Amino acid sequence: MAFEIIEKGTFDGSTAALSLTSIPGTYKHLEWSFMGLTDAPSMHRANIAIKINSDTGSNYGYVGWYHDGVDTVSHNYNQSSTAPFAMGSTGGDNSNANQASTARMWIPNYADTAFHKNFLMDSGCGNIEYPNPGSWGNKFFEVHQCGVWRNTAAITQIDFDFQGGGTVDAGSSYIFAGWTE
Amino acid sequence: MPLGAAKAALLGAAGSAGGAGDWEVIATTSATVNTASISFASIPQTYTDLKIVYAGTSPDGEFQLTNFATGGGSPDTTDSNYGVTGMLVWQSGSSSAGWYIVESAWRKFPISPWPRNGFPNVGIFDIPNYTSTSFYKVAQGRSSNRCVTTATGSSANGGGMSAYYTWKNTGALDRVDMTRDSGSGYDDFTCTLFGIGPV
Repeated sequence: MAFEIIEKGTFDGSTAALSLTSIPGTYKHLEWSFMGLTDAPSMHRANIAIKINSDTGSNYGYVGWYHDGVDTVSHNYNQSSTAPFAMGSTGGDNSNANQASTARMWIPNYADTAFHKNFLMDSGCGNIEYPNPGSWGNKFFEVHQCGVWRNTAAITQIDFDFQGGGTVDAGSSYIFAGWTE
Repeated sequence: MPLGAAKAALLGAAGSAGGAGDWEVIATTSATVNTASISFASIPQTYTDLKIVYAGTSPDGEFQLTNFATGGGSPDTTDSNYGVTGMLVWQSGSSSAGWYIVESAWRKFPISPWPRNGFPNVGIFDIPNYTSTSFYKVAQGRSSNRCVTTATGSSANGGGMSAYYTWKNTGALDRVDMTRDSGSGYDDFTCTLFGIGPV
């Protein structure tokens, strides 16, 4: 099995969207990763939302858990979500300008036409205003979430929406790759 | 394809083994006897992302410390320059389990593997865009641990964990050192540094 970069890029600070189109169906699995943050105003963090094959209908489900550095883990779920819907988190304008987030999403067997599509995203980001004197307590946010798109069609397009009203900071980067058999 | 993003490459030679941008082994180190530290120095700046894969044991239940360096300098050992938050699933006794949040700079980066008394563990840590000079360095890790002292308490616990890490430095990462918090080192381990090759 080999890993091949289909596309990689660096944001220029002008957009809150990333659209991966015309995804070739010749890989076995897909993997997307991101490093950076947004300038979503007055927000410590911003959602990374996705949409598959331009489908905005109530055809999605997700379940995940998250925490913000305290000893409580919360979960969220929705069995019939529309899209775009949040799969992970990145930083907002209240984060330190240098405090990047990281997110990684896996989409197994995306070209299969027998089953609904499942995917998983892990993400983490800063979560407080910075600089902040004292300890680092509660300064981070971490999310792990799986999702489903109730459609048996091959995935040919994934749209990412960095929510919160800002844009993705210049210098933020992503990799979109496929795994071959 | 991307809107408003400077696309660096558009490939897609699907099905060709070892295509552009494949994961490549940069360096690997292993030993069967007590080894004080693991060091990957002079990391080439030509890769896109890094990944560290560790499997091994330790004769004692010490914290895993990872120190970073940039510009050919010495590893940064200042605790307050690192941060982490994570979720640790641990088993206490035979019928209960729970979440532990581990978050403190002094554990450094990453906090696991955290082996004890010969129990093996594994850790996989992804470090995206390690040559960026725009942001602090970040990583995500997934690992296991076996310990007799939990993150905040006691008893014989072990389990899986995930975490988000950061190093407060915008310099390009060129060295990773892994050591134990005190005393004992690593036994029967293999640790490999991977990089996504140029495209």
